[in-house]
Amino acid sequence: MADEMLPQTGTRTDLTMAVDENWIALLRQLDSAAWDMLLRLYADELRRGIQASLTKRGMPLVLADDVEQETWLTAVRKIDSFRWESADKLFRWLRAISVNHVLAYQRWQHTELLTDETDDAEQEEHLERFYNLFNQNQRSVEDEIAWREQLAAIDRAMRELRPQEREILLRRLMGETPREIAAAFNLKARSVSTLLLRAKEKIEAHLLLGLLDAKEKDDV
Amino acid sequence: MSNAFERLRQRVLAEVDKERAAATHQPVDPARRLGTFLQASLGNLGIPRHEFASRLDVERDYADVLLDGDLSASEIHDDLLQKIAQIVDYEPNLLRIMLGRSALAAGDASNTAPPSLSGTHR
Repeated sequence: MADEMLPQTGTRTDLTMAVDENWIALLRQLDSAAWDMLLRLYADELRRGIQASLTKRGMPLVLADDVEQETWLTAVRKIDSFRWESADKLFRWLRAISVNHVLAYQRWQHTELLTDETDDAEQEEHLERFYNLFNQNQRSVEDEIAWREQLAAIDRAMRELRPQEREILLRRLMGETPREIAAAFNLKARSVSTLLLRAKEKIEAHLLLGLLDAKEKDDV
Repeated sequence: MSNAFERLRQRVLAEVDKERAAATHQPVDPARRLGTFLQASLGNLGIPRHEFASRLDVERDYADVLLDGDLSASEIHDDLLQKIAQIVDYEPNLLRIMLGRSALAAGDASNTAPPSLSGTHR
């Protein structure tokens, strides 16, 4: 990490002047310090812009936190697509992302959307270890054993699900989001999230049973 | 620094770490993922490798290479996938998705769950 390339202290104007193509390169390299500085530089102004966009559309300001977080996460994921010209352009890019998220929130019913967001976050937390193992190529010996145990549990859980439910679980494990899956099956994202939560519980139950079986065999 | 900003900061920096890890990690080989999953499936169904080879009507060596993930994904044709799906009692779409291929529409006959040939299916 090239800390010396990053603006360390100073006023908002000083910091903005320090934003240059080299700094953008660090953002593209997913340098934590560079992203931290970008947040410090633009978060307040961006948040004010998001609040203004919500107010303009008569949307509740309580959505600002969600829009703000989604905006920054999108920026992290899409920074490769940003073409550097100036610090102003960088801020406008962030603003455009935030307005896109405001518009997306406007399109969906707020109540269902908020519930889905919570469910998505829970799915991420609960299914993450299965997702990671399902999509990871190089594994340690310990990981390899865990991978095989988990695949066996996933297989058993899938056999208890209906065909469409199996496909939904597998698509999630392959990296599709609940919203993408919902769109593919013409379902509500909330229904997909509920199904995934149930599937996760089945997988964990089979994992536990597998461990108990192994212990019984060891004891014998 | 407000708590809200600190929470946002932690979440964004965690995403930066996650994206960086994803950028450096080698993507999984779909054939290996399929092979290992099939091993787990056959294990759960109590079908040994030689029986799998026999039901698939292929040589044992071929079945081993397939199950060990050493048969390139491009060599796993759809008719073979459908036979495998029949043996492990899954819809062919599941195996297609596992290989990173497009799933067929729900009404497509080639994605219908076949009658079980496993014999030991719970």
